[in-house]
Amino acid sequence: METFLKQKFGFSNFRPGQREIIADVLSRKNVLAVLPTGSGKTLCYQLPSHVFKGITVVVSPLLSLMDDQVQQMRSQGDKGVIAINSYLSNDEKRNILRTLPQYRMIFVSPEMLQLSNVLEALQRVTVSLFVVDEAHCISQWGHEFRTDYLRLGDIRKALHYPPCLALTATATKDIQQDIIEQLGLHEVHRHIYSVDRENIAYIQKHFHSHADKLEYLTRHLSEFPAPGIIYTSSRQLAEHIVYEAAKNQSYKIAYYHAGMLQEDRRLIQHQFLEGSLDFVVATNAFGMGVHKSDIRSVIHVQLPTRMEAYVQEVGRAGRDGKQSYAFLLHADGDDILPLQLIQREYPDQGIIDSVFATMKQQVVVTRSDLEQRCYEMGLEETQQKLLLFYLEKSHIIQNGRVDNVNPELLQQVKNELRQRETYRFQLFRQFEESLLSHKCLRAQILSYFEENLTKRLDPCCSRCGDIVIEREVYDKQNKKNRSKTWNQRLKAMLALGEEEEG
Amino acid sequence: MDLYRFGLLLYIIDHFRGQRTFFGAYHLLVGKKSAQSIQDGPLYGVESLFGVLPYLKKDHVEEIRRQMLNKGFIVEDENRMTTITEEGRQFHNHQRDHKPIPESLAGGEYEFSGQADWFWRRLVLFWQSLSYARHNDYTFLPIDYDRTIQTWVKKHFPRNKEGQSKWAKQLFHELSTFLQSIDDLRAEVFTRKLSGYQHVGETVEQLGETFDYDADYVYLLLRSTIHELINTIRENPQNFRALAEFVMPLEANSSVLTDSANITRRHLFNGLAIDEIAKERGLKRSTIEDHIVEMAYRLKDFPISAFVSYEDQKEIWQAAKQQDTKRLKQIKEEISADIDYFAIRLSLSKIDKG
Ligand SMILES: [Zn+2]
Repeated sequence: METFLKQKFGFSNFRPGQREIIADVLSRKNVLAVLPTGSGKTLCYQLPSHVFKGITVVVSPLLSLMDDQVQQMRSQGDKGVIAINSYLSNDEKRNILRTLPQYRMIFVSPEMLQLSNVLEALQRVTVSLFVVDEAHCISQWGHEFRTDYLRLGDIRKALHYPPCLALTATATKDIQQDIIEQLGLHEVHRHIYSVDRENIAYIQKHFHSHADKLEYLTRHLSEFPAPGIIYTSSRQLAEHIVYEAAKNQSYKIAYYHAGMLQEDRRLIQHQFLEGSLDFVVATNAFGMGVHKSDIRSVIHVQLPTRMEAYVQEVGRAGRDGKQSYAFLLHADGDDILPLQLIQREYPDQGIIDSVFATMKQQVVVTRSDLEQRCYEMGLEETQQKLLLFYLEKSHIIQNGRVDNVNPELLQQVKNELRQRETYRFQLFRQFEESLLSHKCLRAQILSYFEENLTKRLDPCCSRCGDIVIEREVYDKQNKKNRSKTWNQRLKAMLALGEEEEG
Repeated sequence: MDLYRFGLLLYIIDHFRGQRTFFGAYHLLVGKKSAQSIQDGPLYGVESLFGVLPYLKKDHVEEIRRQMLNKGFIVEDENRMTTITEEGRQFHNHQRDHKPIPESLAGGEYEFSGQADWFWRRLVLFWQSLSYARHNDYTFLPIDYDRTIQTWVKKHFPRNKEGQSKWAKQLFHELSTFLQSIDDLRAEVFTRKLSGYQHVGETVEQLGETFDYDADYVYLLLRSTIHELINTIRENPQNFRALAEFVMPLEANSSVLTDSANITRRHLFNGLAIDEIAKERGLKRSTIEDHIVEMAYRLKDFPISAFVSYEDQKEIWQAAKQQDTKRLKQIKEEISADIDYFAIRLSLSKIDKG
């Protein structure tokens, strides 16, 4: 197996867990693997896909991540990989489905699997391995429930139960059990690894006000080890930080958010990968598909809404195993934004009432009528999906239609949604408390995931002792290219000599 | 910050002469393909700005609107029709003295039809691939993930070293010929947006910082350069054989219409009447009328006389001139009762040529 690894991927050793997981996958067992972010989950199916005769299907809910992964594999010469998602035009999709057997590995979004032509195309080929990435999305009580994930069990059945590899970076024991049941996995081999990343040290600083916090960050940024990602939740804040920090000329910094040109977002990604940017200030979408192993700092200026997200974002640091740092800058009042973000995920109770209030006039209401009405009432897509899911679960929607609405059942749905929201508030409070207590940060994070800290690390966290930050002198390559004239720049890119005249 | 987009919005509002809402100006800038914004560009002489800031977000523009109202740059009437004030006009004149709208900007032609995007995205990916190939590096992360673009580049990419060398020389020759003919700032912006071996392109923000300009202005400089380049290639295809490959093939004007209008156009050519097309396509009559108005604006020599008599057209033009307005309702009140809104919209499309 090691020889194969060297040949195909150019690595000489497996990372912890990979060898064991791959061995089980290769012997066609059902596997549940909990592997921390940054520990090489992809290899666990990429390697077996080269061994199996049939096709490896990878279900993933994160479209941009899927695209990044596929582009990276293809750019490394692996042309047997393709993604089927909503970014494709209908023509492209039909083309791919027609030529499906020529691919070795197919990434697909759960929404696409609901389409009959996609499923039928998959039924016509041999699926050797069915991978469910981000498997925690299947659990209703998980932190990132996706209603489309619930049907994955049926889809496995339609594909005649190919061996399954369910992967996630974080899952409590309850969620692990939920994943196994929902996917209908028998005789599962579990490979559960600690969420702890030993080469990341945690540093927390408290400030009295938001303004103090920002001033500290922008003034002292040159003391943070680069390259680094700074996570914020809002576009305005990201722009503000860059604006203030850019006054310091000793490093290069840029922001990344949804209000930018797609073309420019990709340029920021490439600059960061290549090393001409020291810091990127980003909302949480940044960094997922970025395969950059030498990120030294992950700096949180705002808390995400959940511990799982925090651990994943921090996990983008130090994939090369070298000492890296997670900074948490916190100020009083920082809880307001995350609480608002949670609230925004759930449909407002008043809006639910108005959706149904207008319904009485119509005799038969189909599921798509309801969708339309939710849209008109201004519900966001995730809110609408969640609402429809509960309406179906409570049988208010039956066989795709609503005949009459039982007010008690509707009240029950509303209660259930409110309970979920409250539960998420509680989870956030629990997460916040564990980070802001005076105990060891690493131990607190582990205990959130029902783990115990078994060994003393040095450095560990700012609660366990002062942390001396090691910083390499950061090499700023590529600067030289900027000083050329446009004519020289074009020639350099095309490797043309001086004799070529313009 | 963001002063330039302030100026552009005010410029458009000024041209709208109090006959459109604030969001009419916004829709024009982001290039919304609605019947309204398709007409507004040519009607008010701001066609060149169609779709030149596609990344403007609505919530952000709401904020700008509030600021403009607070500063007294604009006023809105009860129907939200927006008029520029003297302060507002002073502000945008001042802006324009420093950073004028690039002359060769032609959004109505190249952004509307998607030609600018078509050209630029293919060129950027082809250039990156060629640059890496010339440095014998074949494992690079593409700058554009779009499959259509990637497939196109793969199909047109030279297979061997010799072909690549020829392409490199020819592309360089053509591009530098063109870039020498424009000002240095735009040549800098254009080339710094390209990516290649050991060169990652820069964002409009970064270029704005380097040259001390607003990012939006940098974006307009880039787009105006792309428009001018396509135009230059069109006029002298024999001098730009390599670059001509990247120009979107003109399939009988079809690309200048929205997809849906194109289908309507085909039905019209087959001799169907408006109601028949509506029935055939399961659409409302008013939607088909929107398509026809779109054609009147987008297609040169589109015969509107098939839908509105020359006498009626004249009556409409006269009313519009007398009232000094392009608002349909105002015109309608002045003309014979049997002339409908559809006729007014069609006639307005030809008002300056008639
Ligand atoms: Zn500790």
